[in-house]
Formats: sequence, C-alpha cells, structure tokens
Amino acid sequence: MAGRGRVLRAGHWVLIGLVVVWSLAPYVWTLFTSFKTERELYQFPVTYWPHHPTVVNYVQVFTQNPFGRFLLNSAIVTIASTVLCLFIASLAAYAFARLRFRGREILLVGLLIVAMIPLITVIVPLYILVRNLGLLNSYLGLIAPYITYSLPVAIFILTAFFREIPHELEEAALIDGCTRVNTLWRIIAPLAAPGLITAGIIVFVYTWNEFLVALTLTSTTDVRTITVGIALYRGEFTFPWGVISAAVTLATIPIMALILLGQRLVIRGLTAGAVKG
Amino acid sequence: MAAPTIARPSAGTQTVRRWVSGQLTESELAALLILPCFAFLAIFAIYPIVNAFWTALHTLRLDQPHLGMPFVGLRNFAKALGDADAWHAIRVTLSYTAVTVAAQFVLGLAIALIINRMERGKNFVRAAALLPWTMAPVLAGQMWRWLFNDQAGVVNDLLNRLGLADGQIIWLGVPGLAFFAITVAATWGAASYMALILLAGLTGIPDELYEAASLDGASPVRTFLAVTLPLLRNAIMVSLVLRTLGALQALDLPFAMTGGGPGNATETFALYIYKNTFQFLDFGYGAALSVILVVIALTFAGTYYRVLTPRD
Repeated sequence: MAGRGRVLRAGHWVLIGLVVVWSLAPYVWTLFTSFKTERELYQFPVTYWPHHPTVVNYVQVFTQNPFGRFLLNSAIVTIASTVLCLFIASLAAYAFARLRFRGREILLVGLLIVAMIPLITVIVPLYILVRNLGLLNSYLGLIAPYITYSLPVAIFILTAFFREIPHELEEAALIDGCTRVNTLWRIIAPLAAPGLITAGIIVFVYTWNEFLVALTLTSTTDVRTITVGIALYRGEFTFPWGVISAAVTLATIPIMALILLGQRLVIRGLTAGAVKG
Repeated sequence: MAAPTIARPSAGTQTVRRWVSGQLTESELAALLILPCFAFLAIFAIYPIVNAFWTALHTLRLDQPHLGMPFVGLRNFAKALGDADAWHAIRVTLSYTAVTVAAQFVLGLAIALIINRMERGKNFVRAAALLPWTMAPVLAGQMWRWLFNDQAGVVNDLLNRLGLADGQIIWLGVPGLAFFAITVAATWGAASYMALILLAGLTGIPDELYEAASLDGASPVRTFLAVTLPLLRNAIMVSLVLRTLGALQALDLPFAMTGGGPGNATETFALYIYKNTFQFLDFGYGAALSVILVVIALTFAGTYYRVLTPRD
C-alpha cells in the first residue's frame, strides 16, 4: 500500500514536471537563441546552451532597428488605454452592480455581443472611421479602439468585484452625510482596488499583445507597436532569428513581470465569470 | 441650494450639482455613469459592426475608385458561395478549431487535474502554466516558426535524439505538417488558459462529494465521470465557448508562423478575409465574408449554450 502510494506520488511529480517543461521550454529555447551568434544558430548538430554567449543581438535590437521605439510605443499606447479603460469601465460597472435602471439587462447582453464580434469584421469600417477622423498613424487612433474593445471584459470583471462590496457600508456613509462622490472615493475605491488591479492586468495583456488593429491602423515606424514590429521584421539576407528572439524576449518581459506579481488576482479575474456561470 | 446671485446654471451644471449632493434619481445617475462607456462602444464598436453589414451589400473596391459604392444586394454573398478558396479557408478554420479546441480541452483538463492535486509548489506551477497564454499569438507564431525550423529547429533535433525521426522534417513546407505545427503552437498558447478556468471549477467542488464517492466504493474513473465532470459543466462551457470563438477568428498565429502557406494549406478564414480586404482591396467582398464569419461564430456560441445548459 505504502509502496503504491509512493509510486503514485512519484508519477504525479513527473506529470508536474512535464507541465512545467511544456509551458516554459519554448521560452527557454528563445532565450538561448537570443544569446547565440549568427554562426552558432545554424551550427550542426544543434547546440542548446550557447557556446559563445553574446549580447550582440540585444545591441542590434536597439541600434540597427527601431525596436526600442516599438517598445516605447507599445508602452505608451498600452498604459494610456488601460488607465482610461479602467476609469470608464469602473463608472459603468458601478452602475451595473449597484443601480436599478431600465435597459440594464439589454445593455449587458449588448456588451456580451460586442465582446463576441470578431475583430476582423470591424477592422475595415474601423480603418475608414479612423482615417476620416485623421487619426491613422497616431497614438490616439490606437488608444480609442483599444479602450473600446477592452471595455466589455473590464466591465464584467469590475461588476463582479463591485457586487461583493457590502452595500451596507455605502448606505451607512450616505446616511452619515457623505456625498456620492465621497462615498465612491473613500468607501468603494479602496475596496475595489483588487478588482481594478485584476481588470487592469488583463486589459494590459490584451492590449500589449494586440496585433490586427495595430497592423491596420499604423503604417509608419513612429507609432508602430512591438507586436507588429516583430511580425513585419525581415532581414536583409537570412532571417535574423537571433535578433527576433532577443526582441521577443524583451517584448515578453513586461507581461511576465506583471503576471508573476499579480498571479492570484489575474486567476481570480479570469475565472470570476466561469465559476459563477 | 446655490447662491441666488449667480445666473441660472445650465442643465448640465445642475445635473452635476445634484449628483454631488446625492439628489439624482438612480436612473439619472446610471445614465450619467454609463454615458462615456456607451459613447466609445457606439463609435468604435457598434457603428463599425453595422457598417460592415452595410458594406457587405455593396461593391467597394479601393483599387477601382471610379466604381463608387453601388448597392449590389446579396451578390457578394453569392460570390462567396461559388468561391472555392473561401470554402477551403472555411474548411481549414473548422478543422483548426476542432483540433485545437479538443487538444486544448484534453490537455487543459489534464493540467488542471495535475495542479489541483498538488500541495506544495502549487503557485509556482500555476504561474508557469499561465505564461503561454500571456504571450502575444503573433509572437508565439514567430517563436514556434523557429522551433519548427527544419535545419536549426529544436523540434527536429529532439525527435532525432529520441530516435523518433531520421533527418530533417520540413515542418512548415508540407501542407499536412504545417497544419499540424500551427495546431501545436495554438494548443501551447491556450491550453493553460483552459486549465486555469477548469482548475477554478475543480477547486469549487466540495471534498465531501469525493469522500462520499470513495465510501461508496466508486472507482476513480467512475468518480471522475459521475462527480467531477457534471460539476465542471459551467467551467467547461465558458472555456469551450471562449476558445472556440478565439479559434474561429485565428489570424495572428498563422500569419506569423506560415503566412497561410505552403500554398494556402494553413490559410484560415480570417486570414483569407484579411487578404481579400487589404491585398486585393475588395472591401465589399471582405465585409461579406466577415459577416459569414460572424454567423458561424454566433451559431457555435448558440449551439454550445443549448447543448451544455442544464434543462430544468
């Protein structure tokens, strides 16, 4: 019996190991690649740990290519979209969680449908709209659509969080003569902080990783984001896998850091809808 | 209220003042709070959706501006019915969806069960499993293109070392293999997401149910089928719907990994729509195809909902 238990436990650890390897191995390979020289990349047999580690690829990312600019653009667009989206979504989520009004259900269903529409369907009208507004190749032209397409998911997450804040706290504050603004600022906001962080991280990840909208609405390197920059990158003679790997690594680091810091909150946000159904 | 010496305040100022002092009715307050959100959705989501349906009924070719934008009724849809490439792209998309969602579900469920039974180190493994989902699909496509590289790729090297292959397999140059490769990459990217939703569902199942099952002498398989799966229904439905909708509009990953090739072997429907729109500049036809994609997506969502919702 004890022997069987030990075998089972060992088997479990093997499976756990496989999960970790399967999840992380592609990252590790990309990281190794980013430190290899052009010659070692195509060496036979294939090497794993770089034999002649070099940072030349990382230098190239910033010196011979506009990847630094792309990273900066991604940061500007993503941070601005996330902050504005959270602000607008929290107002709406407060209404959905706390207030009774006509059309509430219809609006929620409408949000769900907007969330289900494929981006490829709206991309052409969006392109024409943004062009007519004179916002092609501008940060604002990316930020406004990004805010919009993140609103449904942000509102769903925030509504779920706001519902959990006890109603009594708010009523007590209102009875004590606290104004609505003060109640929102002093009572709701601090309690809603975990929800805001959760929604913020998820919106940040979606926006940072977005490709189709960024590809369509930008054509100059001035405002191009990192996903588009990497996808459109071609070398002069051979495909520059070392540089690509370095750029992918750099583009992945901010997201990784965010996820590792806020893991618990992200998982709670991702699963909030799923568990309650 | 306000000082009477000030000129009559505008309606807007009055509303704001009444909000600050808590005198707004609930409906008025709700309308005020939802207004900014609704404005964005109306301009950048609802208008483009309606516009796409409208454009689908017209001829609009950016490469032939002299044509203008004449109304053609359902002619774009009729063209789609007779377009072999469109049907091919739909078939690729449906196979891609079936294969990736099934693989993601099986693998995701396995990962969820493995993590759920952990006691120590759970947070680390969960974080590791979450990471693939956070990588941009277009970057994951680039990364996997390199992993599947025929000469210098790690996949071929490992297969050769394990004795499972001899020589270099040209993964991205042969139709069937290229399709297989993009489904592997897609499964890697989204199985973890599936796993996390299912894991939350597993955590919500009370231990007493398992204890009762084991007291009744139920086998692990029977317990899984009779206790675990039914109680996971909500989590399963949400994860299947989300992943199916994602797979049906897959564009980033094949774009970066194969560009739809070799030939058009991995050209998904979204990629085909993109090509018609931005390479052939046939906006009307592209819009009609994208309306067809909406119909396909909503049909899938509706079917899941009907099949997986418990009937009372």
